[in-house]
Amino acid sequence: VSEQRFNELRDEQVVYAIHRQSRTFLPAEDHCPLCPTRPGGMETEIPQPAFEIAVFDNRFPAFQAPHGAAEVVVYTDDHHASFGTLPRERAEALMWVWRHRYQELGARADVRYVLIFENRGVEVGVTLHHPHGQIYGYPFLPPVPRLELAADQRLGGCAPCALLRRELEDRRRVVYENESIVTYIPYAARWPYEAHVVLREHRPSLLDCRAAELGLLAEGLQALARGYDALFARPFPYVMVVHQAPPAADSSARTAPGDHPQDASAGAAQGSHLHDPPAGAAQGSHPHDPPAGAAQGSHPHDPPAGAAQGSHPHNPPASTAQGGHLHVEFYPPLRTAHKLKYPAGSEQGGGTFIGDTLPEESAVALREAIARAT
Amino acid sequence: MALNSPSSEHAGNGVAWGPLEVEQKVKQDGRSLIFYTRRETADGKPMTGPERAEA
Repeated sequence: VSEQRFNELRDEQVVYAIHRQSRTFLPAEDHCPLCPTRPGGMETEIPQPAFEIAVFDNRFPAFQAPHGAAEVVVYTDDHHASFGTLPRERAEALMWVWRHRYQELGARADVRYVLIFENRGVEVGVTLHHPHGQIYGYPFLPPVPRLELAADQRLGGCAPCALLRRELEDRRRVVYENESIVTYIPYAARWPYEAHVVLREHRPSLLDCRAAELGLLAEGLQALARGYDALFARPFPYVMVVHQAPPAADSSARTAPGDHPQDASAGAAQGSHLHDPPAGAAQGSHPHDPPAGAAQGSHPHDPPAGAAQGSHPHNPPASTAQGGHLHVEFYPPLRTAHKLKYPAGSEQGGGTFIGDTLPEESAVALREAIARAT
Repeated sequence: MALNSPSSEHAGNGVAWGPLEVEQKVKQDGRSLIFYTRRETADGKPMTGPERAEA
């Protein structure tokens, strides 16, 4: 069982999953727990000789019911594949798997946010090389999606919509686009080759996408992954994270175990500690939020008034009550073929990333690499 | 929230969900294990998903 504690100075939850210390670490290929179980071979997590996509509860979970979820998503039974080299149909099927898991986990009372991600490469801490991703069902709203919702309030509308418009007007940082998505290195990227793959239309979550959009999202994600590998002619490590809306319109009204300091039923293991923040802190009334009136209308990139949340022309009626705009962010740690960008003193102590390259320059190289790899 | 939930029907050993067949199992230690397999049309092509449902 994990233990959740609130860090007052950082205004964030910290989760201790000490059982993960003993998890499988870079096993030899013939001991890979994510390969299929072949006749005469080692019994793996997947007791079948072949499969397309498999999802299972993590054996070493950071979260587990009734305090969240941690799942492993195995993309293929081919140990040597990668997300970028999957057949297009498989990548598209993966989008549907993500969507299904978002729906299933998002419907649970103990899940406040569904985070779909992939860590690729030992440089970002991968412990299993078999192509796979993970899904965490957090019992609280984590800081990054919380900040994204705050950005919606600060900009007076959907922040990713506003930023996408800005990137499309500027175009210097756009590296790829198709009918449904645009990929760009953001204006204020933290990582040298950070890229965001953003739905053109306002889609709060995977559940709001049309079928064709899921196919084109898969196409865009794979184009970027292949472009990354082509950039320095080597497997490119990255962290890939799907950003989307909290899973249910009534999520703010739901009570997850550990949200309330006075919630005795949550138990000591899950954050019912006195240091827990008030429940309202996670839902847009955060004490560090700028007053709604102070920032609105004074930001140079303010979207037009009509773009405000709930009045966006492309807002599906189902999701107007919640923020979020489906996009996928990649955080690659490489700054050159053999040099890593480390989050060090300024990044960890000051919270300010110092960049060695300008996003516009990185975009030129990444755009060319994607074109070479297509 | 109205979800874009494709209607479910039994197909093979699993349940059809959009273009996928979903087969849910339980491992010996109680953990869930789900297999996702692409469904195919009569001519062997991958099935595409349904358009999004109305709210």
